[in-house]
Amino acid sequence: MAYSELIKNFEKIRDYMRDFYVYGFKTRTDFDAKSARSYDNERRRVESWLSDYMSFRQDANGKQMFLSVDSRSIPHNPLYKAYKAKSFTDKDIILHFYTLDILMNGESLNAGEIAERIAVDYLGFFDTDILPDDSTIRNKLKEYASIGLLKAEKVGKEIRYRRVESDITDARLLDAISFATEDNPAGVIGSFLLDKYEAIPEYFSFKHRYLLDALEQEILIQLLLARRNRKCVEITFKPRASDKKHVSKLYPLKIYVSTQNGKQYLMAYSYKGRRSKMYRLDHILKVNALEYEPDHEKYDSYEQKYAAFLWGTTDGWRRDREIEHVELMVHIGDNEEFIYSRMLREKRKGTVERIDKNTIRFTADVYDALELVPWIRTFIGRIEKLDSNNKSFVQRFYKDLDDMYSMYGGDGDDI
Amino acid sequence: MIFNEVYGSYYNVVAEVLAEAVNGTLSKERLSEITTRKAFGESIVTIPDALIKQKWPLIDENFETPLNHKPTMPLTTIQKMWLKAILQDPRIQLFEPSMEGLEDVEPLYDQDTFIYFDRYADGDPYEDIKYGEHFRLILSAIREHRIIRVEYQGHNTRKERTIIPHRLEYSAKDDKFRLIGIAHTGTRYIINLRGVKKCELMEKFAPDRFNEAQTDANEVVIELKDKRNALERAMLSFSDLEKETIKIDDENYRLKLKYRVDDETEIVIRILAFGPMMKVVEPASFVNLIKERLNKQKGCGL
Repeated sequence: MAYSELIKNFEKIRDYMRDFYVYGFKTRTDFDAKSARSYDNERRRVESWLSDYMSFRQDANGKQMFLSVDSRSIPHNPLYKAYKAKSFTDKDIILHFYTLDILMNGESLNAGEIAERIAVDYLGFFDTDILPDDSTIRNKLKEYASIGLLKAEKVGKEIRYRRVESDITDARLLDAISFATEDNPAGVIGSFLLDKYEAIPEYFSFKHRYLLDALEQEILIQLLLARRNRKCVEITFKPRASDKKHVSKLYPLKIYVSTQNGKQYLMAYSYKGRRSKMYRLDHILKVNALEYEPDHEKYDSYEQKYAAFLWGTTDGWRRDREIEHVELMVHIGDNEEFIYSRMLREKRKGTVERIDKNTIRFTADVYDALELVPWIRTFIGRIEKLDSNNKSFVQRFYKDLDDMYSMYGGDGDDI
Repeated sequence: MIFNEVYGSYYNVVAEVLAEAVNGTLSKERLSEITTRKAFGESIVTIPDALIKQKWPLIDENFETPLNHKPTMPLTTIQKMWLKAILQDPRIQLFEPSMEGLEDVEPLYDQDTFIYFDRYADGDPYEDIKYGEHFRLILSAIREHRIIRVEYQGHNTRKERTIIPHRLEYSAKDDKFRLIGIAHTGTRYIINLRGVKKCELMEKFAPDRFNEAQTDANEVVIELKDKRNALERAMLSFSDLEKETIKIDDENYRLKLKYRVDDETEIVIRILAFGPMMKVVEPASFVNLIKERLNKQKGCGL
């Protein structure tokens, strides 16, 4: 099949874009799971959509193509462009413009009437044999009614279609959309809205913005719709370090979002495991909405109980979810009140106590003490004591600290 | 669902082309200009070709169309549901947008569906009346290219500055808005919106007069050991910055990060969070910042 910059399946390109954007060091030969031809086509597509943001490097390992941007300096998430590259047929595009034009006057018409107008008033303008058959037209009308572009009304035995007029005319709403498009976890929808306008407001910039969540928004929106309709879902997912796909039936509860690395997780009740669990959105390949869940209130009530001891998104390796206690003592200098404030604003669970003028104590009960390690390390230079009933966690922290001393000089040096 | 051609770049480009055709102003040059400006790299050939050769019979050889109206597309259900959902967000309410036409629409999600579990707890007071007034005034100053006089709480004292506003910068981690602007002298200012006490619109400035002072950028080079999934964690964690990664071997990588000078302390902390999986190798001044913290830590007796 001839190459096209448009694609039929989003899932395939999602993987490539993630590799180009997140890692950026892979060469053609590293994409071993896919064929070289497929790599060439996907690379060419991404380049066609995102040429302004692509960089290249050539070394002994080959040519590496990567996406690298300071997300603070760009007004729009470039990865949204992938959603705007869906392929279509010649009949799709002509039916789109003809149908919406025919119904622009506010008329309500049935499929036959629309088909006749297309044949006479529109295609009659050309010397063409592209006439779509009635069933193609009926399917298109049905599809447009299902996504809300048209309203289908049953009049007697026939179904009549009309346009549902709606537009955004409020300038304040347009400003709000331009902000939400970049900040909201389902912002790609805002990006579609902004595409209708010639001049898009660019009054905002974003710090700590992780663009990659753009690639998970198709999955996210399906989960949000299922939750909105109180439906359970079947997800197909591939966990890290596994080549095997898994299928699970779940009731979606919450979406956990990290503002410090952009990762997103579905918190859901697992029917098979009979407990709440987390699933990384970028590991979910497919979502199928299933039946209405009559017991949704019961499952909703599990969420708070489960979240009470989550520091981040893992509940440890124990089946019984035993709680681990963490105690951290931090020294603050005479002019370092900001450390106290920092701890208060950054702690997600637990308590912070002022022991004396120069010492603060943080304590928390969590499922998995190891999840606190990166945060505790940010206090290096001030840590007086770390303790926990999970002794291996404490030992690992001290061992890592020793390794860092060695890395930056060792015992004999100035560290 | 949302991966649908009705939202696609091709449909948008063709809609603009047809709008010109309905107007009677379409020409080969205009067709080429619209596709170059709006479309993907390779569509510059594909779209004009499909239209001119009537693969898509929408315009004829005289650039005329049978369409009677400029193409417009109503909002889809998912777009309306998204709008209804964002309108419930207190940050969106700062804009005081109209909800007209969405009264009977269900929001795509409720606000409590999303848990930002590692967001800092001292976010801005979006529901404070004064805060909202300052937000809207600064936004209108940016929109209308007006200079502003701002009175705000600095680290220790109250300050007053006359500023050419450039952007409102939002951080999801801090949950704060900051005003980015420059003074007449060219000095760059970043002012926490929460700290603004008074704000006043002044005269207009010519948009081309705005020349944001260049933000100094530094680079740090790090050796990364891919243990305990450190590679993936690091790649995601620093994906907000301009970065370059080189694979040394299956376990070792070299990472070059560009960061703004004002953010140096934050970058030190972010690197420290990776513990022995990351070693800063360049520049020496940055290595010393890590060493200072480790030295200080040794003094704590651990």
